[in-house]
Amino acid sequence: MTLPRIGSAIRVSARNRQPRADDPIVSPAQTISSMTSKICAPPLQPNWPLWWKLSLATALLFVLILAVAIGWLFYAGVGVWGIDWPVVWGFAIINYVWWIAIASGGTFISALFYLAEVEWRGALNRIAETITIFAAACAAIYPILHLGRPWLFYWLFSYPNVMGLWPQFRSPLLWDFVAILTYVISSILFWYFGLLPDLATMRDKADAPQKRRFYGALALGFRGSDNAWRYYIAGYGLLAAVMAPLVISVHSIVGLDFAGAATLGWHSTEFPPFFVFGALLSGFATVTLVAIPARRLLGLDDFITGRHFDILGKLLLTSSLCVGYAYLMEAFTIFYGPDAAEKRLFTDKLAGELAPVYWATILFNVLAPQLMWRRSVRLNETLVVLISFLVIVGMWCERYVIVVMSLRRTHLPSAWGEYTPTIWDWLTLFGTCGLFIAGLLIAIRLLPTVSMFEMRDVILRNARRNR
Amino acid sequence: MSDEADASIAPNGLAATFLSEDAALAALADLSAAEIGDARLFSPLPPPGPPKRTRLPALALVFGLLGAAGAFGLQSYANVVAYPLDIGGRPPFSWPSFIPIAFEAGILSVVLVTVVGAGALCGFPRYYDSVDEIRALRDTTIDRWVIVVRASNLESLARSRDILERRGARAIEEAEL
Repeated sequence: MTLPRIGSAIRVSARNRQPRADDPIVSPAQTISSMTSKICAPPLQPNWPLWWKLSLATALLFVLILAVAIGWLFYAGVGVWGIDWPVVWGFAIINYVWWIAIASGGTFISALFYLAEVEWRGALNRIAETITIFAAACAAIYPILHLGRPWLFYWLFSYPNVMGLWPQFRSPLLWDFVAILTYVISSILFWYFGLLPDLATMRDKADAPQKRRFYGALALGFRGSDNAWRYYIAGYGLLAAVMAPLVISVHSIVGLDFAGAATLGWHSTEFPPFFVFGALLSGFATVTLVAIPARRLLGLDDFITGRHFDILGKLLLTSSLCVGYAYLMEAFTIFYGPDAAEKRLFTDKLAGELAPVYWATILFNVLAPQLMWRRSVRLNETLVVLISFLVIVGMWCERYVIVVMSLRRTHLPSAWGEYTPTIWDWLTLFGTCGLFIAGLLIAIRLLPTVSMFEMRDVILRNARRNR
Repeated sequence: MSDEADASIAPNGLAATFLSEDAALAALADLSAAEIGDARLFSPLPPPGPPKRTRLPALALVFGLLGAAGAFGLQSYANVVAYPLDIGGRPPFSWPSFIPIAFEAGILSVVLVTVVGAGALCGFPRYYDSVDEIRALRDTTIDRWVIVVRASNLESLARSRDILERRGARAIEEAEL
């Protein structure tokens, strides 16, 4: 068996086709055999190129920095961060909300669009689900670190104990703990279940005995029998049907973490849908940001085509309009309502000391994505990467505005305070970025980046249509 | 032919490789029409047609409702009986605030039952099966469709081979099943 070397994939990608509006979902030149060989080639190569090794080494350096930052936090306590009264939620909560929103894009693409039977999803859902796993892992770290005594995190579980204590079930923060736990477990299971047929392909494609054993053990004995496929598809559909409402509920509950508090700028029924819109926007932006370099570096231009660029651009634009609507309604309800303190806080956002952060949020999340109305922008790799990156930065700024601006200017001016993140806040943020990137790099090294069994269906359907 | 002789035929199976889904499905339909016992299709993608009708969705629904009811009951017990707390003047049985956790517990139960149930119905984990001895089967997860027929007597074996050849099988391998 001959597999194209990943080096050759990269050489091809250097002169790969520019995305075009009339591109098909998958190149007509691809057959199920050629597609399988192409997708299996990178994980089965013994040696990977320098870009991968350097990227992984850099990402692992940041993971090391994260470990040091967490070690110092455990030793010295949460005082090493910039949080204090009244800004008691700082980077930990900003970053938590930011990461969990990034995670959502994968579930929307893999579950919601599966139920809608959209064909283009096949090329992107593996990348999207992998993003979900590692972004959710990064998110899950923060609330635990923020507990103050993280080694007692298990007190959040309800279990019979000698102290006779129970968790406070009426708090949205506990709802959030249960929601995130459910989301992380369900996302990992959904991702692994979706991988089984492709792991079987890897097992049968691998030549080296240790690789056959590795993929064989993970594939659990999947052989592609008629019976197994029919049960498998029934199970996968059922999982997709519950993952879609789960992701909506998770982000609604994250919104309730804020809305449940009688804090200025937070106490609004708008928050649950507002957080779902934000999750959609940052999720789609991250999938785009990862898919475009993956297309180049792994030679996936036959599978991630101009059609995908066009669709991702439209999704980004639509979710940006939803977020813009939420920003507008926030302003409208505040000035339509009677609360003078709310009006003062909002004016502070518009023209106060931290106004640049608020306007950066508007610029990056609402105005920059409006460029996507033009098809030529949606098909321009550089501009799409740039806009997606700006959206991700903008979503972080949005969480900074929500968390810090509300807490530093409470109802009582005598209780006002300031917030300055410390080096340990920044190092923890960059450390989780390293963890996320290292996770993605290891996943693309070991696993197929495109869902091969779904891609076969797309290829055969297209071939029948063209006949 | 006596039953004893039927049981002793060896090899007792055939594995036919097809290059297209249409040809494999046509051969499978012919084998079924000819009422030749046990024919299984192995394919690189889900065969066309609806998913298997199973009780899995009903089972998942039952476990989902049980999970949700259990979580709701646990919260009610903790707040009303075991550890009543006055939080913002809310009554101990402030049921609307118990719904989010009940919902999440219901979803988690559905996911766990679906993964375990679908895995069990698919036969996972199954690291060895007699069909693994068939060389052609390694290609079914890549780009080939393979029909494996297990015959009860020599006549069925010969009829199966005829049907498979007529339907354009690229290769036919004898198998001990």
